[in-house]
Amino acid sequence: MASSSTSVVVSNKEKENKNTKKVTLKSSDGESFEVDESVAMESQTIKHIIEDGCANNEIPLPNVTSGILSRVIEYCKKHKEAAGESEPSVTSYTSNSTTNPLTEWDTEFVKVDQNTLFDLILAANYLDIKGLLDLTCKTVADMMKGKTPQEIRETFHIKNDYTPEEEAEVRKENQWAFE
Amino acid sequence: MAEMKRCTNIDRISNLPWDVLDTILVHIPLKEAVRTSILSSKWRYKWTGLSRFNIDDKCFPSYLSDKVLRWKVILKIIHQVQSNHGGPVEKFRLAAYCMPNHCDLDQWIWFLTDKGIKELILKEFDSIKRFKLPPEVFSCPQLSCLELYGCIIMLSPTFRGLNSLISLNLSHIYISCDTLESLIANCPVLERLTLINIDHSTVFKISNLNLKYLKIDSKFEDICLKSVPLLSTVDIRLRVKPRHSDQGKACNLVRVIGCLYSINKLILSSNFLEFLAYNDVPERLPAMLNHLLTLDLRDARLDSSKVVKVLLSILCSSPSLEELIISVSPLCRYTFLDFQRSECLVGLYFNKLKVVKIRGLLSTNHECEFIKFILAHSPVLETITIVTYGGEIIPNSVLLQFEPASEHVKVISLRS
Repeated sequence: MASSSTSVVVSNKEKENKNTKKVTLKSSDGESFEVDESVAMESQTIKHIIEDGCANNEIPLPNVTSGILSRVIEYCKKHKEAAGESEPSVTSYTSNSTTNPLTEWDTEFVKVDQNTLFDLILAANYLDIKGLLDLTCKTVADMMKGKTPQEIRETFHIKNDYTPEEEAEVRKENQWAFE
Repeated sequence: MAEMKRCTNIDRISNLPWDVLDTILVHIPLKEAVRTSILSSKWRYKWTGLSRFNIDDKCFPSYLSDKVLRWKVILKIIHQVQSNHGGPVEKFRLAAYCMPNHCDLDQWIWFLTDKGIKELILKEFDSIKRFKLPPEVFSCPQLSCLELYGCIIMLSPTFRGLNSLISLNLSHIYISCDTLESLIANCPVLERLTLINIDHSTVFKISNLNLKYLKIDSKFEDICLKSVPLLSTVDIRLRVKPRHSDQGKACNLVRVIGCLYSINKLILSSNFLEFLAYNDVPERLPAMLNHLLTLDLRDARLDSSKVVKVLLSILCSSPSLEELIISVSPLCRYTFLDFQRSECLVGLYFNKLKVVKIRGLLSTNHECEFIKFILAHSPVLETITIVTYGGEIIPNSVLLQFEPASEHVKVISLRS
């Protein structure tokens, strides 16, 4: 009995039209953002607020400005969408872990100025969004890798407050790392 | 989007909350993380508070090849961490060529267990099998991943189990049968177990209600998989020729594999297949392996009729099989795929089989018949890849004669 060679995938677009629950997030500078509850719940912090029943009208986020919040929401939307469309992962212990289909999108997403990057890190930390925190932290790590200490200072505007004697002491203390 | 003009020369990294900075620094090699000590006075000891330490050969300059000196460096790192570390240490990995002082190492492990270590990886010691691992490791409440190489494991009499251990990897370890059995049985959330080159254990007795993945590559005389209801993947290679077992005992295939009702993936290698073949192999297992999706035979001695019987018996017992992979041992001068003797098999259809890969064929008649049989009995087959060693590849003219049951099957025939 021959089977058909293609299988039908239920389109997620069909689900969009259903009545989805929404929540409103309010940034520190007073702007309101209405998002799907499921997207907002990418943030563990928000998830707990909703689950504790404290999300009546709006959820205030006093630590996040509107500019950053809109970016965070963009990230959550994109990742929620992708999670919904991918096939359930088949645990295959001999193959490598599934590659992230959003790698390119993520790379573009973090192409921002340093200030915005750090704002995103702090927002991801406060909102407890693991994927975003890992992504932004890894981006900063990549900015540090392979650079000399002076180069790192310049990149991140770190002021060297060691006296020459102190600096020599530290170098000696961790000699192996500087060779 | 209009954004407020901000001064862009502020040092925002030095004041990040520690757990965030830690998340950044664990992504750079340890050597570079330690170099941050020179950035400013604030940074001097930040690196000692890292939650993860990975000490490997990259930490050492290439000229430092003396293993004693290398340990001195490691000791320096360890001491600095011990003096300054505030929070928990989640992961410690030591995989470098060095010669550890066992006293120091004991002390460090004490420190780590105190710090709630979750992932401990100790590899590549100089004095293989002489390092006795401090039993404290086995009372670490938060240990979730343990990977050990080259030490002696003994459990203290007060051993109660590792309640958080999810993954256990033991390689070149000296451990007795009973200790191993006890260790495995007392890890209630264990999911992955890997045993490579285990000494002093002649019989592996594995019993764990949560175990999902098992890999063994070792010498052993016998193996017993009891009470492993969730075991999903089994990958076993036996490193020695199996001893002839006593007559009158149950067939090894039935005893060891036949009870793995939830198995999804079976990878069986060379001598282990011979081991399974001992004592009369039935045409079919007493109970079907309804969830077996992948059967992967490696280094298979298909010149042994017994081993072929093992293959056929499993095939007859796996109605849900989706992937069949067979690698014939290069030691075979001929193959004995006498499948037509199996009444069970001849009438069987592989209704879920999608992928077949057979490598190491010798283009014998038996083999051609077997391939023809597979093609004719696999209605949903998508690809079949055949690789012959030396000799002729199965000619296209022969392949074209086969009448596959599946309309869209792709037949790939290669020569290695």
